[in-house]
Amino acid sequence: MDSTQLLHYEFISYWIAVGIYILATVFFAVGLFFDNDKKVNVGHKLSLAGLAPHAAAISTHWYLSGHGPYLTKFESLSSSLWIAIIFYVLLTIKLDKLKPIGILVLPISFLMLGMGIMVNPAIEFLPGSFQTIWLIFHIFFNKLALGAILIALGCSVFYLMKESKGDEGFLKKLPSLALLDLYIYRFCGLCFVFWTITVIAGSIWAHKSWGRYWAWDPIETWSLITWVIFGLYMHLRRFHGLKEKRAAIFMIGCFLMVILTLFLVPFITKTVHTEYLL
Amino acid sequence: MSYLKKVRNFFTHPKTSLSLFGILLFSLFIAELIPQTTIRDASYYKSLSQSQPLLYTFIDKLSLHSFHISIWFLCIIALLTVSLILTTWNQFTTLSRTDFTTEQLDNRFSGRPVNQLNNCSVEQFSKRLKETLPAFGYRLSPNKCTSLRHYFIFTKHQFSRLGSPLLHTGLLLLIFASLYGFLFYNRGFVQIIEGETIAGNPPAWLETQKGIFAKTINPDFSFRLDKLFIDYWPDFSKKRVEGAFTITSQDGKQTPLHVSLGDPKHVEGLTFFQTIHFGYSVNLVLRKPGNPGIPTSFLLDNEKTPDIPPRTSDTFPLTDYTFDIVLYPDSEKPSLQLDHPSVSVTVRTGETIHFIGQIRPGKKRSFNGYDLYCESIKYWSGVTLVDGYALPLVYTAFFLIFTGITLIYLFESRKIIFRLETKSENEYLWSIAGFPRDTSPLFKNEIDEISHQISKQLVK
Repeated sequence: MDSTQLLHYEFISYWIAVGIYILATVFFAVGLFFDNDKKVNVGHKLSLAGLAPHAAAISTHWYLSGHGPYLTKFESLSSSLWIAIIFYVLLTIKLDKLKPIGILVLPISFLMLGMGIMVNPAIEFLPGSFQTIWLIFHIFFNKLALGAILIALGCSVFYLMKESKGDEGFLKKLPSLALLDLYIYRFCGLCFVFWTITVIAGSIWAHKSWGRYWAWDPIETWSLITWVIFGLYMHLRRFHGLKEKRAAIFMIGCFLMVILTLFLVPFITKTVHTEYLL
Repeated sequence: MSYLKKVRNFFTHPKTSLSLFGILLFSLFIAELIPQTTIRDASYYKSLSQSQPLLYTFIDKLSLHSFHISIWFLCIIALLTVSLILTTWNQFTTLSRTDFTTEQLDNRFSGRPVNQLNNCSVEQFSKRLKETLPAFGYRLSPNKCTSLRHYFIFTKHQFSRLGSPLLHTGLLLLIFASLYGFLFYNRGFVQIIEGETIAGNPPAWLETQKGIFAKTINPDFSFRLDKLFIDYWPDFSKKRVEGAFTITSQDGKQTPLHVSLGDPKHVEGLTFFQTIHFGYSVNLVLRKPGNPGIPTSFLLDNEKTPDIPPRTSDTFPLTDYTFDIVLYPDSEKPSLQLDHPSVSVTVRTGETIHFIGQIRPGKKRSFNGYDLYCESIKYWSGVTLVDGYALPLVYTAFFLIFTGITLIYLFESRKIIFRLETKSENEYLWSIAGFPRDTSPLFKNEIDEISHQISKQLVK
């Protein structure tokens, strides 16, 4: 099979995955708004099913490009969302009550995946300075951080909904407010751990490539800002009693910072990351 | 309270660290709003000073365009460092204090439900606890007794208490490493042509970053670039850039050294980094018959795409001639084929053109009574040299930060305390409390479950 054919199958797989994720979202929406557990479960199973064509597409792209899915925006978005969805699916197998978070995780995922395909799905080659294990750590943990923050976002949004509307409709199926509050803290902590590893691995990679750990490049500074905001959240939470509604709102702010750092700053400023995030 | 103690209390107060966090955040936002000298060149600020002199003066006076070396930012970092040192010290000293006082223990139990225990000795109760708690991952710590009360303290993940001091020590080390760099780090860039040897501290050595007390890079050895290897991907992006050097020490010993992108090498305290910057050196000799020739090398930058040939324009030394040079490494392949390249040369004085033509390595052309030789075409390579960086300190800091943060957020330190109070002979009251936050839902569930199991066991 030649590369043109493989590329064709790759795109078919992507669109099948997007289609399944859309369908999963529909099932989540119907299940939650009409208080039907079976449909929520179908949505959950569809999320799991969508991972297969998505994985096939990522693997094909990997095979064709000769490197992992982390060079272009398309590759980065696609693999980040794959990890975020698998994170969600595995988590909700253990924590059944968090399944409704799929109503937030899935639409964000398929919209960003669609955006990735529209931006630039072309195959790019791996420059010499990218052939290092630290880049793999840098990117892999960044994706895990995104997965953790997406779950924390879902918990925060549901916390706020449950707090204002009480146990109305599907909200009664969610964990208690106290437990949601705890999950927000835990997943934010997890994201903080992964974000820290991302920054550390990135700076070691920068040192190996350019002889300096930190150059105050815009994306470096923004990732530091995000890290400091996470640190602030953790300090407020541990020492100043930040919890419940205010903590959930703060968490949404943290999520926006992550999105700004990962997906907006490389677009609007000239950074060392812009050069490869094509 | 002594003055020093007041200062210590101020710097270790959570509100102080929070305020410093806030100020740091604010300064980082400023750094993002105002273009920094690290990413903009001098011409940007020159045009800003002309178009908006007031704004520029404000930015310049406060060093907002290079905030990371400005006095105010360094002051914030200094305050943060003091706060970190004192907080970390406090955390380590608290770590050594593992024992609760009976007063602290009693405070923990105020308002807790109390259970009745009849016909059971203290030993039997203790035995039940020792049977039940390990299943939940708890270990028994030394008990505490008063005349009327027995306290049984069980602990879980106590090692995670190390997390916070480790994290803060790591951050401190990172600040010290940055300070070391700020004072002693020296980073230089050099363009070296294949076959060229560099010794000592040549004027071509461009110091791109130099600490306040950093010594000038002056190695005890010389190095020669023997060959530069370039591999391209089909889209002309660089797959591999690798320089093969020969290091010659003062005693004449020669050692080969290969430095490629992302794989720096250390030589006698100096680290070599192969950069992505490279190009071609067109080596020409201009000679009048009967006179010695004037050799010179024109350095051309490698272009990003194969369809644009590398070019340069410069004056030939000791003449009035300006040479416009365009190099065609190869018309078909993006890589340099040394048996094929040709150089297109235009020689002019102002607008007056004296010569236009092609010249190949080893060939000669003539104009205005001069012979122009193309001696060779070689690669030049950009090499970064770094002296005095605190690598072990940085790696240790990273390790401590990672370990600390993992211990804090992935392993929660917990203590469960049982209190057995003597009511009368063979009649006791027992209660259970958790530390630190037993109101947290998961911990509360665990305590309830343990309490339930203990009650069941005692009934048996």
